[in-house]
Amino acid sequence: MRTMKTRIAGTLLGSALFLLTSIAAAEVAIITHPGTQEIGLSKDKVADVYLGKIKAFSDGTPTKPVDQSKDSPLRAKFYKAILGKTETEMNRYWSKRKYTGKGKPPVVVLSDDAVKELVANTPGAIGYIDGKSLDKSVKVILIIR
Amino acid sequence: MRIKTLSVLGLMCGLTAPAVSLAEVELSGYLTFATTYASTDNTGDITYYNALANTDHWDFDTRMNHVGVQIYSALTDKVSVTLALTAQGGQSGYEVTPEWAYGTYQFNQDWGLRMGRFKGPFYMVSDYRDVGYAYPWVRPPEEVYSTNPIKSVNGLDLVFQKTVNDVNYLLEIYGGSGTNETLVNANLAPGFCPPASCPYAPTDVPFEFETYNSAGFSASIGTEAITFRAGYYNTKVNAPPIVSAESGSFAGVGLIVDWRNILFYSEYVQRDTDNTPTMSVAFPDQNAWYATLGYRFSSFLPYVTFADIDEGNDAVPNALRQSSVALGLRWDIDDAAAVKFEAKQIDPGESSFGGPYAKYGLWDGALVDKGNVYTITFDTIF
Repeated sequence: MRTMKTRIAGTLLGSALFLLTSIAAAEVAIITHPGTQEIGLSKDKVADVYLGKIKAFSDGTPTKPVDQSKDSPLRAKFYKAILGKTETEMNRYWSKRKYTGKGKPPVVVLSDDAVKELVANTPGAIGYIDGKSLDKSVKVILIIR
Repeated sequence: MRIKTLSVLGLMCGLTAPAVSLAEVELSGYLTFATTYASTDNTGDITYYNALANTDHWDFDTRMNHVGVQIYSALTDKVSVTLALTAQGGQSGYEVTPEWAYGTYQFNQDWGLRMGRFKGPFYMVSDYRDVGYAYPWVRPPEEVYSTNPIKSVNGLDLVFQKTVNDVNYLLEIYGGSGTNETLVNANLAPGFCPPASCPYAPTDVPFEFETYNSAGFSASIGTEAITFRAGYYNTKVNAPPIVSAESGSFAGVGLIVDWRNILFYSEYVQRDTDNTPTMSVAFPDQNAWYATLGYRFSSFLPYVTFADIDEGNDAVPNALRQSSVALGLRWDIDDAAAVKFEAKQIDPGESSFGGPYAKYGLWDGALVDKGNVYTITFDTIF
């Protein structure tokens, strides 16, 4: 019984480790609507869109940032790489704004497919997905490795 | 087996479909739960800041406790509606009030007009003073934040908000009227509460407070690391039975530095009211300030706050006087929740007029020596 338990624990640990490494190795693709013509969409500009500081592209199209769920490892990786911020820091940022009419956090959708669908059909939208989920329906801005 | 799977899928579709249509309405909220304790050298019981803390027990039932729910819905690209209901604790039990309820018309990316009831941006954090999670302290320093008894304005608020080259600009111009309930210390402002009509101890008197012909602005400029703010608000006031058609103004400047692990908040405010016999008793001129310095060690933020309230432009006996030092610790226990501890030592100032008004500060009675107030809060957003 004891060996059995140990073996199960070992297997679980093994798959957890495997899962962690595969997540850590995943590429995050930052995508936008195929019609977005904005030039120079750098890391800093993407960050400003997610902070609500850039509210429209230079052609006047309103920007619409899209988030994944709080549990998504893609979200943590995106915020760390692009904004240099943790979930706690982002919560602190929005808590000063969203209850006072001074800003609205990005909409949250729950999967890569949902992000792609929304971004593909919304001019001005920006989102991020696992690199493996990329297809031609959206335009790639940046890849985080 | 296959049928079973299909029916589960069907059920899931049925469950998720309404959630998609509900995406038009966004719910969010905030909660603060607090306990307070006061200790003094006085022999009898005494309470701090309109019963915010009592000397004889840890009080879990103060008006610091509250939960708020915000409902937001964008009707079109330009028009949205926001409603927030707050249930606030205190001696008379939890009371639910619409803290704000307004429609927004967004002219373009930078200019918007809010119409309805909104939090007055009187001081630096006053428009999110109920969202404890958003600031370092257990509560905004009451030396400054007690000077304006009004929390909300019913009217119009024109908002300009823009970021250019990493500099954030915010300007709000607002005006309107409103009815507010506030509390007053009847020992210091006799006339508000004839003993027979006082629902509680005569030191903690709620009364209706009517404001009209109110107008103000709030402007801030800042980067991610440093924000400077200035604001001014002027209003006419009716506060039966003693104040009628008198006026008061509130001016303030503030600074927030949030640079690397260093946090610094400071504000200076002036309340300037009509120098009449009634106003100088009920709402005398006051000057107040605070400065907070903190340092983040990962999820811990220890801080120290120095604060002071003193007589204003027209020196009168009824002006409140106290200075305080507070040591606090904010601990972010989770992505969206914090526990805070604060010990505050308050020195009620001696009035240059002497007499019965000396040594009150924000306490409901005269102190024989310094007093301490301890506060523990749990703050979360959802």
